[in-house]
Amino acid sequence: MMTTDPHTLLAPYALDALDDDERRAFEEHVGTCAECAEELAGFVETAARLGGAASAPAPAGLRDAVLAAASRTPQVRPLSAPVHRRAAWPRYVQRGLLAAAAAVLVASVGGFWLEHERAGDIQAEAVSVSQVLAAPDVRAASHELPDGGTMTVASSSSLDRAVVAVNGLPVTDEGTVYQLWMLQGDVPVPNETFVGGEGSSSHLFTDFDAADAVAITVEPQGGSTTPTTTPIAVVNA
Amino acid sequence: MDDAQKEPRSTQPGLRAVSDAPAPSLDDDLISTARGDEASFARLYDAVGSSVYGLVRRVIRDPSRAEEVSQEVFLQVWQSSHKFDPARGKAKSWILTLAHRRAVDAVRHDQAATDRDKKYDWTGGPDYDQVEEEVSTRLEHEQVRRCLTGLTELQREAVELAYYQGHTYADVARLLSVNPATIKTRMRDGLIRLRDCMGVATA
Repeated sequence: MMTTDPHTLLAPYALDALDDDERRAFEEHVGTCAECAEELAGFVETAARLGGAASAPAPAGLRDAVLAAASRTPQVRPLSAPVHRRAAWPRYVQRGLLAAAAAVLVASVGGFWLEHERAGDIQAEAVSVSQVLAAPDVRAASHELPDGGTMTVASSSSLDRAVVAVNGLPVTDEGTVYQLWMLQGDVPVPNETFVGGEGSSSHLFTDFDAADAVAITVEPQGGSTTPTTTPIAVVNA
Repeated sequence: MDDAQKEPRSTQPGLRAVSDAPAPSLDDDLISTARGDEASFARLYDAVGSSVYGLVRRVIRDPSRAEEVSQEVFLQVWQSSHKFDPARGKAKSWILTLAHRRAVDAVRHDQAATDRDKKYDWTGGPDYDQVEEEVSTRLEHEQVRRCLTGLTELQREAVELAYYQGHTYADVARLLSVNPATIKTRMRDGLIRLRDCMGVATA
């Protein structure tokens, strides 16, 4: 697919003329190519001018529909934006979780314009994260991890979900990752993997009402279906 | 009566500048939208609503589907406005880029479900006969039209079939019976020529 020079795909990309697979492959390349980003910005702006030339009066009802939808839809807020605080929600916990949620939002996205593409997927998860954080019955607890770092578990039983944010763990050795688990009784259910390091990562858990605890282990790259090492931490759900 | 007597402040440029403070720019409105300011979001809609709807309808063609998708676009603007970085582009371009992507995805998704082989719309290009446009908008349209006519036939067809009708470059190649590699090159040459004609800054 990318056997040809990816630079020849800059124009088709700016015109949204790549199919899904090529688009993804191109985005992986362009995220690591500063020179592409510069030329791409010019093409994207040019394409937007073409777009501006197609304007047409919008239907009368659209404005009200748009504003009403916005009014009832929570935004995905980055850390720097003001946040509606809840009395039951300790400030430090909220800060950590929002930082983690924001980290998920910007993860692995190469540039300003590229953020559109994955917005759908990322947004779906981010909405779930923000729904948990905004749930009226959210409960949260923060735990210091033995090797440094913290793990914060925020759960909502009405949503049957939890968000687990991990901060400040050292980067794993090459070929290994951290993996999160939900323990239902003695049965560990695998969740996402991550490599630690600066910043934080947050992870969504579904079917969380059945969880008794959350554990974290070190696993081979790619993660495991059952834990292969002793947990570095187990915290009650 | 000279100006200085009518408007004493004109001798103090700084104060005058303050009294003539412009309305918030679109960039400002998008930034405030990211903080949940619904009034800014409404101003944003008023400024770019017809651009978004027009572009989405141009690609999708069905007006009621275009209305639906336009609403999704604005909801996405509302939710992801914090990703906008004014240092890297204009608010209107950011929104139109998002709108175009969403319209193209919608039209491809819809058409995958129906007969993709129906007659293609060869009229191409933006609709030029809008009468309700503001002067500035008309000038922009005029510039785009002029720049498009500066392209070769193949460059223009390649750009228009992709951008205004949502075809992939591979589709465009098939439609025009031209090698896909040639289409990619023509798209690139066409965009470079358009970019220079429109005076888009290249960083």
